[in-house]
Amino acid sequence: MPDWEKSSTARVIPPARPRKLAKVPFVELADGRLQGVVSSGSDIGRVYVSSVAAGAYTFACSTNNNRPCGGARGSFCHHILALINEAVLQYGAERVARYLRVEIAAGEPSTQAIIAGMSATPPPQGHTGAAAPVFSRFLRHLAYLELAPTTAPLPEMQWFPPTPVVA
Amino acid sequence: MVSADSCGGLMRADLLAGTIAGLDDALAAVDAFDRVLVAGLFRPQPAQAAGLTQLAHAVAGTPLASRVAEAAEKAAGAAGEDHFVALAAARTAVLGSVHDALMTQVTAATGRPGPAEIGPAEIGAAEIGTSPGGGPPAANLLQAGRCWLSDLARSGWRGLDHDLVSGSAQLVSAMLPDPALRRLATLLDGFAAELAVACPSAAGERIPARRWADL
Repeated sequence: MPDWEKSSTARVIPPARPRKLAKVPFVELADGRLQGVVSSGSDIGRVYVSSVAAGAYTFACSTNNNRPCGGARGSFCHHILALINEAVLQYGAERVARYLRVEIAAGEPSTQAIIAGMSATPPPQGHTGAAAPVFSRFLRHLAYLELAPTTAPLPEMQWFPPTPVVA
Repeated sequence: MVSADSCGGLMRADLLAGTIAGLDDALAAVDAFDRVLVAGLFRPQPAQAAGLTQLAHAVAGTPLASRVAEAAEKAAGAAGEDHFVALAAARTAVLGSVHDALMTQVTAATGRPGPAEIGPAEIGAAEIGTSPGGGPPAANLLQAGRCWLSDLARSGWRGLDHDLVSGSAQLVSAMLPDPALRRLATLLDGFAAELAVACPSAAGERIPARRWADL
């Protein structure tokens, strides 16, 4: 077996990069989609659940109460553009492009190149059925903040260091 | 080489370069078992049966011998949780022996006290899963955890799917609020997150076999 496969400390998930959470409080590459939660630009009490599927780039955007987003008709709305932008900040353009299976025509992958790559043919609009599970994943992440604090050592976290390890 | 501390003892670097009898065999048995988990135990192929036998042979001279031998035999499709626990115990025992052998070598080379002289009480693993009040451990949650891990062992790293991986979500959510279970919940949560990133895994993609088997 190659060394990486024989290493207990092999890095499987690259560390997330820091980013501001006000506009896009939640973004993840999971379930075959880039998906997340985007704050409404006009109403502080409203959020949109947005997603783009890997491969086909099927997109969907709706409020968490399942009202469709007015901007997501025929092409990506600005919530989805903000989602892609923040995903690139968190994961890096290369990993986002690879996950969504976007062909980058030339040069380095970037937010613009990823959006251009997905918009070359108009992406299909999907149904908003995924909004509920995505939103519940967001709530699950929020629930970490509600766990009772304890000062007991948690050595298991050494399995998942927040900084890159030297292979 | 003279060590930096005031004792002025000599470090025997030559001892570090020596080979340890059986070390390669022990690690080969672990590697063989780790390869078994890549494809899973649901429908084991002959190569996997051989890997299980290799692990069983590695603990043949220990008190685990009969249970692991039985588990290696039964693992062909009909393995239950007890069998998986026996195999996991065998893997842990073999890696523990590797650890001890390496520590003995380091101790001999440096002349410093080994961990045994510091005292086994430092290792707190025995406390995991017991409530702070000394009450019974959350047996049903631990049982559910073993059940999920057994399902992973059956499917193998190549057979992962989103449903199987996300099967741990409820369990982790139930375990995290209990400080006594938080250490185990952290491991399960982090492990499941890694599996979710990797699945569905394409045949050509590399698998962190040692790490996932450890976890």
